[in-house]
Amino acid sequence: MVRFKYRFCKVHMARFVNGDLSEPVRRRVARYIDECDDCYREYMRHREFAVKLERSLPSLGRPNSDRLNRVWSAVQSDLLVTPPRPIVFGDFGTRSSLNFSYGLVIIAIAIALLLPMTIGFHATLLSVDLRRLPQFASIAHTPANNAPKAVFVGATAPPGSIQLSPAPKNTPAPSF
Amino acid sequence: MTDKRATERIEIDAIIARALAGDQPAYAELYDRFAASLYRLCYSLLMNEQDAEDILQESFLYAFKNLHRFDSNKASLKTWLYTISVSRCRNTYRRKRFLTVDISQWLGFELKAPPSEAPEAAVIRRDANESISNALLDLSPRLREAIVLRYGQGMTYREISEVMGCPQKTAESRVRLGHQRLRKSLQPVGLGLLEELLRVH
Repeated sequence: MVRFKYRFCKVHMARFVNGDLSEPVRRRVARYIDECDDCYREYMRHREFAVKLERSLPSLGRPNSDRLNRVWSAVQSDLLVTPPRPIVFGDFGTRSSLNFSYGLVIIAIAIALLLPMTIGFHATLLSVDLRRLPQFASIAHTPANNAPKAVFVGATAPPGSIQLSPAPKNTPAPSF
Repeated sequence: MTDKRATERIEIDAIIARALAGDQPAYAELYDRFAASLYRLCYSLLMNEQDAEDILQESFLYAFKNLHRFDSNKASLKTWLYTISVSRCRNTYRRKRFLTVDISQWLGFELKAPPSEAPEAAVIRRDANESISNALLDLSPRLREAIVLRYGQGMTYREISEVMGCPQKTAESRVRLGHQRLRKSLQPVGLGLLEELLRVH
């Protein structure tokens, strides 16, 4: 039982010391610390370590005033060269890196959209036999059968002419 | 505690308003308030004085140029400044991922003792500093950030989560993991060194 308590405490001790355990688990660990000597020792070790960290880490890399003054002079001189911008309406997306990445995305989208269209356009052009196309055509009414005829004029006109059939006589008139 | 924070916030808001109105001493006042703690943060994350100085300068420049964008309703100025510095420190880790050897540390330039310090105390201080720095460097960057913000800067989990850009639970677990790993790596050295460091300071 003591081993179980100790193992439970060992698992939860760091969170217990940092105060981020749920209320029931925190109470259970606290009870074990009171009841079990090993748990109490484990708690004291963690507590001591946490306290020492809290006290020793802030002293790590403490700057001297010369260093801070040097940085302030540099900041001041940079600010004088490029003073802070005044508040402007619609001030967004001014970071150049952001603009650059947005620009790249827009170019990529444009290429992705245009590429298939361009390829498709060339394919359509190539598939048409330009030599066999009529240069121009005219439609004329011949008095014989009163039917309009399309007559191809030109060197490459196909043999014969396309005859457009007249509208059937029994076609019902459209009713409105 | 809450009253103290509220008062501090009002004071800082007033200083920001003055700075935005073009009052130059207000910028100096903001710098004086936060520069030392920001430098310590950068140094603890990078373990290099020159890098820490550069990032301190960059962070303040960025913050002052973009002060009009700061919204005190969303976050405190401290959290905002820390977020800027931590993101720049992350860029530096990335740049220096393959260049982890610092010649200045070999030559002992990091170990400047105060003039009044006795040689013996200086040695103890150096040993303690080295062991803590090495233990921190052994942690992954995210765990190091969590530990430094929690124990080095005394931030709450909520503030840590804002600075690190992660949920509060993640911040808690990072602190816990970092604490466990740091304890494990400092165990062979002994906690006596930490005690010595405290005594010297």
